[in-house]
Amino acid sequence: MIRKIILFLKKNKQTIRITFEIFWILIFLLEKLGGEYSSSIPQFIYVNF
Amino acid sequence: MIEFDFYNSLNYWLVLFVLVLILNFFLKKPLLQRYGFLLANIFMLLALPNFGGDSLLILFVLTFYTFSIGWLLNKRGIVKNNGLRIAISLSSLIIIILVLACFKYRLVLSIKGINRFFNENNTSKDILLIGVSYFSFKMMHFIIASYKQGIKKPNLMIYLNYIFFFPSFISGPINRYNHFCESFDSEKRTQFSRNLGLGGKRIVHGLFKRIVLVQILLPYVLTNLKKPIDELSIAEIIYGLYAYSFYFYFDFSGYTDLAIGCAQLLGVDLPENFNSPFLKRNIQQLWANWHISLTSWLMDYIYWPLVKKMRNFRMLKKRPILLSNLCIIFTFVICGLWHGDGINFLLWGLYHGLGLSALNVYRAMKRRIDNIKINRYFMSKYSFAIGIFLTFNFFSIGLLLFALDIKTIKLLFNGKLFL
Repeated sequence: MIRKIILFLKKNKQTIRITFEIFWILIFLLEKLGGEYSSSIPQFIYVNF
Repeated sequence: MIEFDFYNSLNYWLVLFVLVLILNFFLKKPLLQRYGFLLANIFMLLALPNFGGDSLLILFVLTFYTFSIGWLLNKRGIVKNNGLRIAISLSSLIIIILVLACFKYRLVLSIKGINRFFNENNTSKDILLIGVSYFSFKMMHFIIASYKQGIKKPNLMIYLNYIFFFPSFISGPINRYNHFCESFDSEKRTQFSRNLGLGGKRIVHGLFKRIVLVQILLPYVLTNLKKPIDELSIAEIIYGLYAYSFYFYFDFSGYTDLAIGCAQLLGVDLPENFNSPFLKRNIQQLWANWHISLTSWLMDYIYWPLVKKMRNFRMLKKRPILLSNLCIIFTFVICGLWHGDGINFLLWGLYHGLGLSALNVYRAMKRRIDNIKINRYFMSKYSFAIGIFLTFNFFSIGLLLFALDIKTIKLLFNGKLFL
């Protein structure tokens, strides 16, 4: 069973990673939109170099 | 005129979406594409805050100037005299360096609110050249490559697009002309579904780093801690620095992912800038995998030419490690100064130059060891893990000089260390 899960994870690594990332991006964006105490996205450090 | 920050605002993404559609589906002919690309680049640059018509004019003049010089040098049979070729190249490089020094440090000064160095009556003092650090390095590359007659296909429209290319304009990667030219004229550029898939994935990676990871790390970063800086304990300074290192990495590599992803949507390949730098076992490997496009530029156009010149000194020719160390220290001092105008940036460059020199000496000593057990240890996983840990700490401690000025660093260690 565990071997099957590991195989599945290995086979779908890219899709799982993208889904995970999109999920958290959406959560953070929604939190940013909804909460008045939420912080804004900081400016890039490197932009002014 | 519409105004937005690149990658951070919804307007940017909406405009990019429209541009991708127009460039992929409405402008099919190669010549039309080149003009369309240039117009899209100009439109995007003008949308940048602090980038006005004056900045655009200066950029156009510099681009035409460097292209003309490059074209003259690159074309066989036009300028045959080697002395004249060197004089033309050197004078052009000096002009670009002057532009870089003038606009970059004025930009830094104006951001800090210190304009006292400049005459109040000077009407040009408000002109800012965003991205000057990056496009000036691209222009220098073009001049040097042309001097060596290494530009395969000099073309004004492609060169304009190369310099003005908006995804990499503000913070790189510093791509090379031939690479851009190949990618720009490649058939892959028209394979929209392939580009959409690759670019889309890269953009998601970049947004994840920028929106999620950077946001999580931000409250723990040394410069963002809630306590006054002189009240921080050594432990708080250490974790603040660790957080700053990861924050810096995710912020910059996130930006690079977005730049590469957006360029991919337009069908252009940009070079990679990061390759797991914090998992490298020494500082030389870390630098070979951190801001790769800058490091390779510095190696190609400062370090190696300097090594070649310095080899002419007999004293240094016999001492290759000393020769390499002197050149690496000089290269990294330039690297530090490129990053900013404060003495802390110079010290940061010197710190890394000295670190790399120490590694050179250590490697030479290591080669002399004849003990099998010790050599087996150097090849082991433990040695590798210790190397990663020490390299990360060396880099993180160096970030103190990057993030804070000398006064603040003294304040930070007030009473805690010898400072």
